[in-house]
Amino acid sequence: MPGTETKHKVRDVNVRMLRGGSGRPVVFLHGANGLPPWLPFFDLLAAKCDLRVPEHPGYGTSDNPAWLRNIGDLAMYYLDFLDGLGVDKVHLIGQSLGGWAAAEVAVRNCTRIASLTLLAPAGIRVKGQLSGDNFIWDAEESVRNLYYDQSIPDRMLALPLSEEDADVALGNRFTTTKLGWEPRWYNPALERWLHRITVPTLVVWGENDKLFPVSYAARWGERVPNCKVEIIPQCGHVPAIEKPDITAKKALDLIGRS
Amino acid sequence: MQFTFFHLMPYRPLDMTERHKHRAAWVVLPNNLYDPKKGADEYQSYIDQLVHAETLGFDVIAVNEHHQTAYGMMPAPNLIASNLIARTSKAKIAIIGRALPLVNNPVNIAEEFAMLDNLSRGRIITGFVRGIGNE
Repeated sequence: MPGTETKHKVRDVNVRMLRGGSGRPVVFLHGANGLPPWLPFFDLLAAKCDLRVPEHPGYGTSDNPAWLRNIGDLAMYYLDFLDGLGVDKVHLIGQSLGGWAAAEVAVRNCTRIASLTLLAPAGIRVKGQLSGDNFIWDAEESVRNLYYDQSIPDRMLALPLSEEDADVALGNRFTTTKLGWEPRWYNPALERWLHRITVPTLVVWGENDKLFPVSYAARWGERVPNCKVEIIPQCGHVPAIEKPDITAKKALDLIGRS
Repeated sequence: MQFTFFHLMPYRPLDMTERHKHRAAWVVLPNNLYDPKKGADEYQSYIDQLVHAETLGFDVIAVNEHHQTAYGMMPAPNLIASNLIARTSKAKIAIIGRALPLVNNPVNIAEEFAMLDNLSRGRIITGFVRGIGNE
């Protein structure tokens, strides 16, 4: 049952948002490739939850405000977003860049968060554990390097890219670069404050992640107080796409007990 | 009409067999393919060419800026320009161009060009580029 695309407004910012399902309120924050289509992963969540998948400002056809310069700006915006939903608390899920944003929201203020699921989040750096550099990858590598199962990029790369898609991808790249270029995919201040996340947290990581090493998952587990770490074998950087069943199950387990 | 002798300073001794094991000569090419002794000879040879261009009557001798590539050995063109200032006296020296987004402090750009202008007694032509992705 695919979600519907809606228009959503946060104060003076207009964004796209996918919405579907009913039940516990869940918000999914997307990664650097932009707002995904309605994924099988979202169907699994929407079977039990009222799922909202907002597009970040600066991405896709959502507004691109000048004040958005770094992850802190995005985090503050999402505090406004959560306040504006008219819901007491949501279960927050974030993928990669979206995971970083979710963590930054949570260290600031957990009031509107019932639980936190981080899927291969950006945001910290572990010295001596080298990350991949997506900015150096060419167009094909940028897809292939995100997945363990190469049949997934085979399918994705075979899809035609319209001029409109290419323009959107370029705009997304601009915002991605604003947020993740320097320091590369982390906030040097974040790790110190992860103890401020007081809600039950799940960190999920693909064992074969070529972008952020799976060894980072343990550091998140050490720093966030009430935190479970799940490593998924035969999985790259995008567990929600590559292993939707197990990822959704783990997230729903957390949501169910929070 | 004025004539400019313009150099990019490619690294000529590059092992092309090794080079073709990588998808480009830019960015992803390993540093171990650069031999600093041969590199020093390259700089010597190319700077000699630029100086000689003044003797041949070129109005302008020009250098440019590229990074992370065997295609051009001048990530810091102002350093070459400084060398050329010392070895020439008539030709204009064009830097086309200094990549601005890579330098944190614009004051640094202004200071270096002011010095080059002064050292050359007005023979510098400043140029700026935004740089391309490889930079």
